[in-house]
Amino acid sequence: MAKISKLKTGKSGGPPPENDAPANTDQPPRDKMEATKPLQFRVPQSVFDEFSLMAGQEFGFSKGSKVSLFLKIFEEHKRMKT
Amino acid sequence: MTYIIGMVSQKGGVGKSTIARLIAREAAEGGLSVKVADLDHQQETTAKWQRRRAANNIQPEIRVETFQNVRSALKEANNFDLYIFDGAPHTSTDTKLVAQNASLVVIPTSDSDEDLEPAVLLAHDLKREGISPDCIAFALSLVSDSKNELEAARDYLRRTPYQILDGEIPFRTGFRQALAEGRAVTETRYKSLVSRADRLAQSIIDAAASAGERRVA
Repeated sequence: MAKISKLKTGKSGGPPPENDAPANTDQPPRDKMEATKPLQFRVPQSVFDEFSLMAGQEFGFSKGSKVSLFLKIFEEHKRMKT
Repeated sequence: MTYIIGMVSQKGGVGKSTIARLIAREAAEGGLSVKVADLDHQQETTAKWQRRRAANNIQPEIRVETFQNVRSALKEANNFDLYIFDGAPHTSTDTKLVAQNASLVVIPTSDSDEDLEPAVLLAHDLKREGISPDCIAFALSLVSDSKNELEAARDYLRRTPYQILDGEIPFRTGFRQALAEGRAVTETRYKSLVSRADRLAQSIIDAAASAGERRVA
């Protein structure tokens, strides 16, 4: 197979923009994370769709975004009560 | 004045510990009192390295301690000229705490896209948390032999607002063997490789000094 490295002039694409950076420095250290438990409940399809869309838009369309949105809302709810 | 250098990354295996040991060795050889706080308390890789170093009677002696808590480490940092945090192989609130207290944050990355992107994302994350881009520096570590790849990696990083350190640590079996014996990469017999690693060490020390002076001013 031909060696093409000499033809390469740069990395594919540029560095990611600042807006793309996830807020990992807000996450607890992995070894200090609490154990998790499932929380299951049913909601109307329309609520599910809207919640999924909001979670994706805010936390990225990937696994865990709905959990992140739920926790954010829960924290906000607790803050409002105090 | 104590200089604090934080070695942090979003992923493991990019050379944090290798560079932490390198800087610690160079500083200790130069007569500074230095200590490494190993925050990877599950693996304790640098603490184990220090024990191998002591067992092989390699000088200068380097102090290493494993900490579960950044705040505990920070309490003793002022007792040293140079205090180096060897971070855990992931990003967390501990990373932010290290960065907030460090003169210089070093993010090691190889020349591969898979390492460059998370390194830049972590730098962005820290910048958003209020860390000055002047205090964030990329160190090329465990890089390939391709000059094109290395230059392309530097070009990629130049398009960010952060510092790019001179020199680099090439990926070499000999370096791995040295680390397994308790040596730093500058304590090997590969002269040209050692000079590249030495240049990186000098660049980190110079950047830490400049960043420290800016903080004081």
